[in-house]
Amino acid sequence: MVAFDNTILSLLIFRDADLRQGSSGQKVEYARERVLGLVQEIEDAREQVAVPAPALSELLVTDGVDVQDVLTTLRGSSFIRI
Amino acid sequence: MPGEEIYELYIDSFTPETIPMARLADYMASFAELLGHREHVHFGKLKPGSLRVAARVDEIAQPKVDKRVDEVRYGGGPQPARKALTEIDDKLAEDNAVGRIIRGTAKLIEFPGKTRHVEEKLGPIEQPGTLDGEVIQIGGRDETINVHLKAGEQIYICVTSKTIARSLAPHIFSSAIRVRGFGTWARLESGAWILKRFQIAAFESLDQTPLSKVFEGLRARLAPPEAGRMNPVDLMRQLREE
Repeated sequence: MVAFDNTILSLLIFRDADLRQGSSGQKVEYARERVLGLVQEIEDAREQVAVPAPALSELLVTDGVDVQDVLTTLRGSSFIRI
Repeated sequence: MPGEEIYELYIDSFTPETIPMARLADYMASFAELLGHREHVHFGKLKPGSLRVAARVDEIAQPKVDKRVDEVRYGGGPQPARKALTEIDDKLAEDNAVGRIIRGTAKLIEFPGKTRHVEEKLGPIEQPGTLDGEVIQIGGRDETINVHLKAGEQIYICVTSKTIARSLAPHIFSSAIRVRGFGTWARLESGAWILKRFQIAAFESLDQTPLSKVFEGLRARLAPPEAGRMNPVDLMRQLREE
């Protein structure tokens, strides 16, 4: 089982999230595409993803999040464990 | 014979003269299970000095055996092969020995045996939790009903009430469910936790939508507010620094 932290989850569910690195804040190229590639690998292997409760709670404080929708969707999936 | 590949199980605490025959048979059974493909794996010989059990693998099966050993080495592979790996290490620990599997000059798998880290046994511990799986059996003659839940290669044997068992019945051999309840767990010396008992108090059906579609759906619905917002990743970084 693979666990996703808040950064990976943000890239997966917020289309305006992007990843920057270093003191210059340089954008990480193709960060979302790489994460989507990982998700596809996990899906092909029919494995589950663990979402640690602290990472999930961080996600839920982001502006514009429908808390109930996120919780219902993640809790109800056969491939995700909180 | 030409074309054959030789795998050896090395055990440091025995020689061919000192190992009891029954113990040798135990090691050979587990070694054979680890290599698999039994119709193409043959006993070679016992080598002198510290014990080395040689197995000959027919050319036709070599890629499959190589793959199996390689997968087991990194914690994967078929369940019987993984079990055989654990059994060999357990036997070595009991015999105050260490061992390894060798192919040619390559040491493929090291068995720590007597030198392995031993965890303190813990439990039984009872705590609330969940299990995911497919119901494959429901039955019982008294008020406690046994429910067998299959999760991959693992079978969890749970108990529940007649009322919940009746609700579970339509889900047998069907889609995955998540059961909630109280589990009784124990930690073995190997560090692995085993489930002794799980009392099901409730359950729910699980959505089978592929993982990529789950996230795609959320991404489509969770649009940023019209007024915009800070990059969510930067927001988290900022919150953590405060």
